[in-house]
Amino acid sequence: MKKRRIILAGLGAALLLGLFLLSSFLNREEESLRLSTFSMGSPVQQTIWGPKEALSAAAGKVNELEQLISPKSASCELEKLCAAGSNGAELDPRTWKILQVCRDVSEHTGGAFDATIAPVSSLWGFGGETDAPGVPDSRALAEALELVDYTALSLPGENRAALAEGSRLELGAAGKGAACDAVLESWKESGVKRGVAAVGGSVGLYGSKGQDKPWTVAVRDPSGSTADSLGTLSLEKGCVSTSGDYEKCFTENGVTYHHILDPKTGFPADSGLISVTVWRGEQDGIDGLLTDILSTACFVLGVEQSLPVLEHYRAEAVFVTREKAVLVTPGLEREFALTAEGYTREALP
Amino acid sequence: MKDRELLSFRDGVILFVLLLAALALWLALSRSPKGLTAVVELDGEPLRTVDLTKLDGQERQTVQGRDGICCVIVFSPDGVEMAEADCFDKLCVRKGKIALAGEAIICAPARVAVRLEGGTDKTPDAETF
Repeated sequence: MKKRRIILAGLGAALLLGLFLLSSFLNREEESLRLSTFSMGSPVQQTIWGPKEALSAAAGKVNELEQLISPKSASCELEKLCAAGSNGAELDPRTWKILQVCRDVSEHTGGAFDATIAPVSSLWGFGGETDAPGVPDSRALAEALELVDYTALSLPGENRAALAEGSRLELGAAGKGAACDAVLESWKESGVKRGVAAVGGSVGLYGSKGQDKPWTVAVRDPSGSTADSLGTLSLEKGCVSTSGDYEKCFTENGVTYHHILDPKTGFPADSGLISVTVWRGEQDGIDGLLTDILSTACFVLGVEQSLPVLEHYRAEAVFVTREKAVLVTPGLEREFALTAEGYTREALP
Repeated sequence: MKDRELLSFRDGVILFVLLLAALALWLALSRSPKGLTAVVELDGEPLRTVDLTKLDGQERQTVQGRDGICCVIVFSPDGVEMAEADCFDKLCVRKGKIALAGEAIICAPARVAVRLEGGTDKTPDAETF
């Protein structure tokens, strides 16, 4: 009898151990590697499943890009282009590609996105050009607005560009997305299996997450605190960028001004939107760049005018209006789950 | 001689209870959220790791970042926040408290970051803003 009890107890213990080992085996996951660096005035966060060297290689590529397009860099090619005047200059292929996409989006949005907005945006001081951002003097704003014209940028040949005299370029609405593309491209060369890159609020997804699960990207709640999320996008690939009126804003004489400027008026865009999130998954090396630019362009255009633009670039979007309506394009209909309270999901016009 | 049964009723009950205990343990281990850990980084280099589940109350830490910018980080069992920072935009302070793994508070001018790691499967992989 006693012997049988011991056998039974042993059997039970073996059962417990077996289940525990099985559980550990089923839940086992390859360790990810992370690296946080700073570039383009933003944190660059990498999470990868792959060789460690891939992290520093990708961070190096982002730094190289920053050197090319950041006005704070001594080797900024945008300054070089300004100095070259109408003669034009030979640019690094990476800078040229960004300018080409910027110019293309400007044409397809009728100037709702315009990289020549630099004279206007520096007057507002959102980029730290002044001690604190403020509403510019109306005469100075009108003069600066005269210089905003995307046709001032010409791209006469491969890697060649020219800028009309007086014009200046700003790639603040393109840099973070372009940096995401640079990270993903670098991971490809380094043999990374899968990973997530975040440059500021632009996110790049690389490879399949595995276990038949999609990547999940939380979308910031535009009217909540910075830690609140509006909902979640479940995505297999591609890049995501968001433009919202909550980032970099200030209040003057009771009016709140945000940093997304309408190139036509020189004032913060007023299309009825408070946030636009754009996704693109073509995996052609410009998903990040396009989503970054398009989120700004769509914020300026408003829902209705954005739809043909998104269709042209094979991109999808989640719009949030001032009335707290959430509108989702067909390609993200099932991928987006609204979780924040106080919002209603509405059909597109 | 009476045939001895392989398992008596009592043995069956004991085995059943053991089985239930094993199942409960397995469920508890596989479904319980993993502990949250805060990782403080300066210029991309890890500075300190804090297991939030082991904290009894609040804990403050001052980190001196780039250009002498000071950031005061407050750790508590339910999250982390940047209570104060000398930076010009205060975006890090405005971020408020973060409580989910994958979330981060970043003071870009100071190059100080606090990331939360661990958590459950429901934690998003990234955040767009």
